[in-house]
Amino acid sequence: MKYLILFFMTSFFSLGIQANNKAYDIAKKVDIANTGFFSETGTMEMILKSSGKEIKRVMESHSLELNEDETHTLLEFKLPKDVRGTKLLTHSFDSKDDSQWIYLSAFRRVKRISSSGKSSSFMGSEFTFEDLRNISVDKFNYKFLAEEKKGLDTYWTYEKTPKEKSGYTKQKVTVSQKFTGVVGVVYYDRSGQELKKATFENFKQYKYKNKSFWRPSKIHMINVQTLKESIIMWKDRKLGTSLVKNLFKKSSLKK
Amino acid sequence: MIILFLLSIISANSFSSEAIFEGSVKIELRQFEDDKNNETLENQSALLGKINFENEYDVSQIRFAVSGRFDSQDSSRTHLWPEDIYFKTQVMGDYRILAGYKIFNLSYMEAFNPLDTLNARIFDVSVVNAEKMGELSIGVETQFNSGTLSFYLLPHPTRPKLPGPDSRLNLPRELNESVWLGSSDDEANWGDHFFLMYEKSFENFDSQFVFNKGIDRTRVIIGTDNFVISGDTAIPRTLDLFTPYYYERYLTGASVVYNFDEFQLKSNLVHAYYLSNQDIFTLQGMKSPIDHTTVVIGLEKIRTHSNNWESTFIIEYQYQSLADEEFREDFALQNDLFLAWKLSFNDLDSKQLVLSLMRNMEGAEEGYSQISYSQRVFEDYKFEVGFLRYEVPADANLSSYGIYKNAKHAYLNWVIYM
Repeated sequence: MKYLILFFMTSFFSLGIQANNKAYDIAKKVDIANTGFFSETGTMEMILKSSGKEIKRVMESHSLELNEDETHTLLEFKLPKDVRGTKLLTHSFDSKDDSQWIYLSAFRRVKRISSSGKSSSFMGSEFTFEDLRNISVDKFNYKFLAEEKKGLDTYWTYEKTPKEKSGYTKQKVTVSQKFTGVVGVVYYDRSGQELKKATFENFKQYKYKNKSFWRPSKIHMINVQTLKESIIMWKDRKLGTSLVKNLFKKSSLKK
Repeated sequence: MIILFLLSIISANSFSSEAIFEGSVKIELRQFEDDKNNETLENQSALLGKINFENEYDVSQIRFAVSGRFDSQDSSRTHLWPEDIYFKTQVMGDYRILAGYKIFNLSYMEAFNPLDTLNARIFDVSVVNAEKMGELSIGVETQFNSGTLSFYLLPHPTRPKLPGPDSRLNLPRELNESVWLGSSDDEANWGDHFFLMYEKSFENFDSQFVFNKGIDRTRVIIGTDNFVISGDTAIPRTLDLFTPYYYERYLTGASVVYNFDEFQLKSNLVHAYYLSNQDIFTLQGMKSPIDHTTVVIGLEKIRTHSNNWESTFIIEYQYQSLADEEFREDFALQNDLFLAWKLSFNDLDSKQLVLSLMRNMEGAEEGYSQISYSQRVFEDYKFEVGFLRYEVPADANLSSYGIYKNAKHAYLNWVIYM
């Protein structure tokens, strides 16, 4: 009997490990499918909605893959006019903490974003500085939740909890097999309550060096607690363009 | 440089189609407390205009940014000044060269930035963060050991703009043209001034190291060098004691920002060594510059509230170690604490409330407090209202806080972006 209980316990435990490995494997698969693009540029329009009011913000985005461990991203604001020239520079690493700096054009000043500031709202939107970083797979623990077929596509849902300091206690992520990409994320706040929902829509296919990449053209973020919404839409996205490394230096943020 | 700018406009088609031409107009209204002096102004209004043109082609960039203020009542506030008028390009691989007028920003702190002194400023009623003017510069930047190394010649120091007799700053009359004093005493307008800077970020640190030879335009001694010494007494040979003197100095310093846990720790260590210590006869006696070391420590923390509002708490402390303690009263900000709370509402209008306070830590009732509120209106407009109150002892030295004796005021700024 003792061996039978032990057998069930170990079987259940190993099933749990397999399920968790499955979630990690899916996240890793998404990561691999979305890397190797060398560089990415585009124009991002961000629509902020609150209490019936709407405001548009426009940014130019540039990303550069330096190596498997390191990606640099630069966002520059074009609208609204009072923050035109404001830039956000992110150095994302798989193996260590990310670094972020913001250049405030009105003050001509570069400020490092502190770890407490990473969960702050990005320019009044429902996105945080943390949301705009490149997501490193190994900075989370994973738990597989469900697999569901809808039409010709299969959707996997898993939960990920951060290993390092984060503004969220966990995120429930839904991945599309067809796009090998994230199509939805539910974010939970520090008290464990559901905070925000993001849906990734209008996937488009891009090619660079014989590899295909699916990218969402729209991310719709809704704060379920305040009902405020932020929508990011991409235009003129290009992969594999020529970008100079110096563009992503902290010292290059200042004009 | 102006020719280069005009050429860039003429040949705009050969540059990128992403040329930027933008500007803003700011209406500035200020209401001062009545100082019972009919010769100074209680309410002031001014228009501040800014234009900015930028164009890029391949690895070259041209920028033309100028500002101008018009005050119909106080002509000493009416100026037109360059901010950035420069041509920048990349040569020999990784070397970026720049020539023209440029505003540099070496500040990491909110209030105390003893390294951020490369540009002349327009002195008005704010004890910190006065407006900067562009400095004539020819420089080169390159990457070195994962950091950025910069060397700039600053051959022609821009003269600071000082307030006139109508101003609410406590100056008795219009000042003469400023005089540079340096290693060769009457220092020429063109000189061998420069700065060398190395910036590097690693792990959770940002650092910068600076060595600068230049005219210190953050400290001024107002008086005359036309005097004789008779026994132990200095006797001026003129009644005109209103010439501003600025001194040449070497400035060596470092800034470090360190992120730890939820805090950001900032520090500055700066030493100023003057190349001239020529005495000036002033209304407060004989004065000369004093070599000094400045230490600044700051701590910043951001807290996000459950309603998505965000508070930033800032504390900064500055201490200046002076060679001669008897001169301490001549220095503003020599032992001061700065506290600030910024509340960002994170809404569509970017509403922000800021409370700040500065206090002298040696018991003197010197310092200021300020409250301001700003928000965007209709996309292209922004307004800021605020109140600035100085605490200045009746006998405060004019070289220190005394200048702000009657500068208490409320203000409204309305900016229109184009």
